[in-house]
Amino acid sequence: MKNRKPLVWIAGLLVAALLMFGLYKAFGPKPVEGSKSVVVEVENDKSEVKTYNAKTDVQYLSELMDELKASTDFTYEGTGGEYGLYINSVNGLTADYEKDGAYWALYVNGEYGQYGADQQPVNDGETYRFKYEIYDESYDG
Amino acid sequence: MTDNGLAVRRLVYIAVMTAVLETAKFALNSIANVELVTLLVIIFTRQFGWKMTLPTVLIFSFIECLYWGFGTWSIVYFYMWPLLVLFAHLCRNGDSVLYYAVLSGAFGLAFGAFCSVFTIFIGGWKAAFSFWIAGIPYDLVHGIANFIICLVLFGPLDRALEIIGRKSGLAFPD
Repeated sequence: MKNRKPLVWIAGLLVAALLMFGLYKAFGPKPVEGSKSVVVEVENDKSEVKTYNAKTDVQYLSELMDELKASTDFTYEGTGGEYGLYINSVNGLTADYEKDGAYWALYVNGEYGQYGADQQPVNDGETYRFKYEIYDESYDG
Repeated sequence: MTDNGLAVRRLVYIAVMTAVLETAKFALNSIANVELVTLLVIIFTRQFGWKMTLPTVLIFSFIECLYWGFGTWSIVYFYMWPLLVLFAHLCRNGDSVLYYAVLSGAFGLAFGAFCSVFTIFIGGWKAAFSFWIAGIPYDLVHGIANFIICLVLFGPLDRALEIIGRKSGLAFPD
């Protein structure tokens, strides 16, 4: 009889991948489609806040950032990484983590964001704040 | 060969294996979630045993931290790769490329889940679950890429390292 073990292993791997895909569909970030009024704030290294009010139909924050970049003085630069879009600079201010532990944090309605900008759904009435922060080592205890 | 000679040879091989891991990691850094480290760690463990591969992955993790900076994510590397050494050690007698391709693919799929374990201690279960779920698309790419890479490269690399291991006198399973 032929050894069917490899087929069983591959089937197991496929089932695991499908289950994960199902979980992502069920519990992953869900964007709301339609016209949405949102606020984007940029807090720089001097704690000055610049506010952008936007009406948009986009699904994810990175798309809204692209819209703002095209229609206002908002600018940003980012790189794709293992866990999504990593924002290097906003409105010309670059956060260099290797130099001084600086990074651009994302807050959603005042709470620390759970997702990167390219996975953060844009929902009506929400406020997104990009805040220049310095990593505090004492936070790790 | 004397015990001292063997120990020196082991140290040199660990250094070379670490360099190979680093080179492989940097070579594919620009392609997110496509990497050769998983495959190499599996083959190193198979050919040189866990006693040589474990220090290799720990030094590799340390160098990664030196390069990218120490952060909470650093902890993840220090248990992820040793965990792979353990899995590879338990599966070291597999007789088929598919066997290792499945192991490599499964490790890629589970990468985010393993990473999120640490998030439990920082942000709780809910944050860890959100973190894992949000990363699933990346884990799927990682798993598929690992599977294909292993399927293609495992045979030639395993044979090459088997010859090197035999010639060096270090190819003894632990």
